[in-house]
Amino acid sequence: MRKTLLPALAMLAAFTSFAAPAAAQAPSGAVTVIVPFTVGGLNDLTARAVAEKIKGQLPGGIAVINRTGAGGSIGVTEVVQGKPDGTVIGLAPTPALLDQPQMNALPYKGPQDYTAIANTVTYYQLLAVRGDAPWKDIKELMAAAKASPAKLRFGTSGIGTAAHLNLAQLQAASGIDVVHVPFSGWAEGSAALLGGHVDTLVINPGEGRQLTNAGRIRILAVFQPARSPFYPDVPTFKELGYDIGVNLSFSFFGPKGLPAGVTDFYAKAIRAAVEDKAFQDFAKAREIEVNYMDSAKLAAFFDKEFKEHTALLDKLGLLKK
Amino acid sequence: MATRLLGVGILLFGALYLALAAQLPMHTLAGPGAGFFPVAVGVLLIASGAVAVFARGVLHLEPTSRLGLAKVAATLAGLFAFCALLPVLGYLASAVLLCVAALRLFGTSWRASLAIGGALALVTWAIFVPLLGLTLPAGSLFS
Amino acid sequence: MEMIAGLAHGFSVAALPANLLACFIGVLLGSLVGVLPGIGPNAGMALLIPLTFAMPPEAAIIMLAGIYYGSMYGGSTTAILLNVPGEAASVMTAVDGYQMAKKGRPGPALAIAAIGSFVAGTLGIVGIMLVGPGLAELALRFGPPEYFVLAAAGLVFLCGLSTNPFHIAFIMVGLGLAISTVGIDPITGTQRFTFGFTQLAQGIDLVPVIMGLYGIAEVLTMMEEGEQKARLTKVRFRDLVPSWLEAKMSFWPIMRGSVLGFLIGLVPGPATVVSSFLSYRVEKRLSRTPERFGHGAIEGVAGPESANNSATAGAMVPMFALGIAFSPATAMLLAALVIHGVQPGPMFMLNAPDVFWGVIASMYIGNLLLLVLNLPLVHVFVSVLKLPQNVLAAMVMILCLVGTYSINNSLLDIWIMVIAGALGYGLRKLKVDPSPLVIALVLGPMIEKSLRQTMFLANGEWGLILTRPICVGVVAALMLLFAGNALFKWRRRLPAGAALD
Repeated sequence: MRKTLLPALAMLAAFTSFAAPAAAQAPSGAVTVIVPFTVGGLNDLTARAVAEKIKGQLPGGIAVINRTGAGGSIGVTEVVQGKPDGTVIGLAPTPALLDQPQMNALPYKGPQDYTAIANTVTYYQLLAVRGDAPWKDIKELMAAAKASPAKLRFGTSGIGTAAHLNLAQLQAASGIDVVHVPFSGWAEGSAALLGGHVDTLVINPGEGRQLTNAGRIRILAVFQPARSPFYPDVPTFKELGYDIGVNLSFSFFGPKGLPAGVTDFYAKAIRAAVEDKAFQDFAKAREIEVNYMDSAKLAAFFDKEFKEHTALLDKLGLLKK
Repeated sequence: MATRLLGVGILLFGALYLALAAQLPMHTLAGPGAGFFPVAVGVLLIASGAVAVFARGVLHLEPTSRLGLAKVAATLAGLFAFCALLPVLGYLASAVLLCVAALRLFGTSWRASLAIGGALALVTWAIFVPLLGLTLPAGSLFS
Repeated sequence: MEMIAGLAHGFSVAALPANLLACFIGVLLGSLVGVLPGIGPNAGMALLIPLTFAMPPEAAIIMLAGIYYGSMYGGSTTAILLNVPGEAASVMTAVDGYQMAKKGRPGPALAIAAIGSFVAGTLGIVGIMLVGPGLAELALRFGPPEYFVLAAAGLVFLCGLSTNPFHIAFIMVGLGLAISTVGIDPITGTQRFTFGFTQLAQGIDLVPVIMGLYGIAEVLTMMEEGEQKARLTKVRFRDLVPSWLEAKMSFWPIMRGSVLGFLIGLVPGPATVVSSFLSYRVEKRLSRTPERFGHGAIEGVAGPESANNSATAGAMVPMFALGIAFSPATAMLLAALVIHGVQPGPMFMLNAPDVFWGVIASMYIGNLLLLVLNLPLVHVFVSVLKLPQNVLAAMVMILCLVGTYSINNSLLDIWIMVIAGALGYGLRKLKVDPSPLVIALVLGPMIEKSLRQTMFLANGEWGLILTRPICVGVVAALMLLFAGNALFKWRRRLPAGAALD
């Protein structure tokens, strides 16, 4: 009895999966998730948290691999050049996906060269000053900047980064003239801010929490359309009348031409993963917001952001010739 | 003589480097751009090459036997072949090939070369893959 | 008193069996990645971070920190025995350590390296506890202009330690700087000299270049000589332990190296590498017999090996005190802390005493474990030299290739290593010392970044630099140092009696 039942069941299973190609379909074989930034960073942890959650649905297994360097473009390139069968996917932030290909000659030019799968988290940046800085709030800082042009020093995490785009938007919207000092990341920038080498620094949420609690730095404003739940007392630039703010979103993506069934499978699995309590707690600890978008929504989001960033980068003279 | 040749080589390299560096943007809107430092380095390279050309010769090539030089050239060729073959043949096969070739160049017998090469490849693989949990290329030929 | 209570509490945490085990695994793995050429602390820690996700925070940080300082013990082994630096920080150890090994004293070199590392590591932890927070604040006063002055002066100063004539050192520096500009520009993100290869955008890493210049070049030299005999036939016990004289000569270099390394660890940049170079330079300068350097001077092993170890402790100060990481290795420690919900920074000691004091105490234990682990191993390691040279050559070659590949899983890295090997062999034939190239490659990115940031800061107003007291002070101190140095040299050139006139 058992002898005949098993093959029959297997056939049935094979038949049903064959008969419904458009439905969500797990990729066959071992899956590699490429992370273009280092182990232990926000990008890496998000990927690992999601991978851990969807592991059970992938019989071939799933591994997270870090391919770092070149502002994330090395890792993204590897995904873009992978086989479009769902065995290679990536998780990357918007600057690596949208800005890098506009500033450098890369094997991918923009959203048309990869498949949007799903978005996980989104956050906006903050403007920080030293704890003992003379400006009580953002209004005083803006007034000081207007009163003495080209005197105040604003630090960012590098030219062409989201922080730079935010600063550029602020300058364009408010007409302030400040000295821009680009650093390579939070470590360098925060040391310069604490040491008084720059007056302000554009930072990511979460990064400055400890220094904020200790009173070493203060957050004056957020580059966000609405107030951040993690900094309810900090005004947005929008409240000051400047409608600005570049967001950072971490999205899963795959090579161009990923089958709709596979994209669908991942989007569903990722949705369940990011809506899980553990993931929500993780996001809260890092002061970022879970912002699930499915494939279609994410693709539209990519297109919109890409065009906006093209205009911004062009204004800054950073567009690749 | 050797110094002068080195100087000329550096001059040429410096000129090429400077030509490439000059194509990078020198300025951003607010400060020095990506090309600023490379251009300075290019100028430095050319200056150092020029100094070497006009300096009195201080470098002398250490004499090498023909045989020795041939062995070195063969080893280098083997190393480059290893780099090229690694993604195709995978780690174990390429490593055994390289070791055996190197040991044969030393005049080691075939049998000893194979034994030592095989052992070295296996032991390093055991340290790096199962013990440290790293990945080494498996080779596209076999997958 | 608060500190003693804290430390006592720390030992009670670190002595828990699980934490002891974590410490042991950490230092053991650290030693292993240290001994293996190429693969170093960063790769070792990256490997283990995912495993530590499931551990309690103390155990995770204890283990990762163990890899970091443990790797500095192992790096000297291959440098001394085979002239192949296991890490970039052991380049200077290879110079005199290898000469000692050639003269039949590999044991004392290894033993002094281990003892120096132990002393420096332990002193470094004392430094973290006693002066760390204050010094971290002081280090913040250094901004881009100060870094630029320090790095540029460091380049000039350190190149003085090579045996090259001036114009050859000049060429080597130029080449090193040129190599350092390949890849993505750290400030604007522009790709430079990548010729369309995306892989090249991550830049030319220091490790493949060093593995090539030293390791592969050594293999090629062995090939050329074609010697089959073993380098060492018998290992006698008295060749394993340092003599009284060797121990005495190492004492001050170890002390000076410890202090130097700790201080350099406090500022951003590749502290372990820079501190080992600087310590070597200082020892050679202070020595009454500088001509022994390069021919097997024990001080040339003791100083740098101590310096690179206390630099790891120094680098942890800004991380513990401010929550800022200046090197990839401390960035990984920081990441591991954050993963476990522990935020280092000014409140670290108060908010998470278990983690802070536990890690500090474990570092004392770990250093002791490393000493106990390494001293008996001296005998085992020295036995490697009993292998015939053909086997040794094949072994070094394979280890360099695998170790370098494993850092980034990059094929490009091993191509770079082989090319650097050919270059290194050529330089040997010309009797040119490649160390200025290495120094320029290490300091180049720091010089470029700080120079450009200074220009951004000044925004055309150069008078600003003169208003920075630390910057002016540093420049003045350096000028005095160089002037003193020149005077010293000039006086030495005069015959003994002439100086009195």
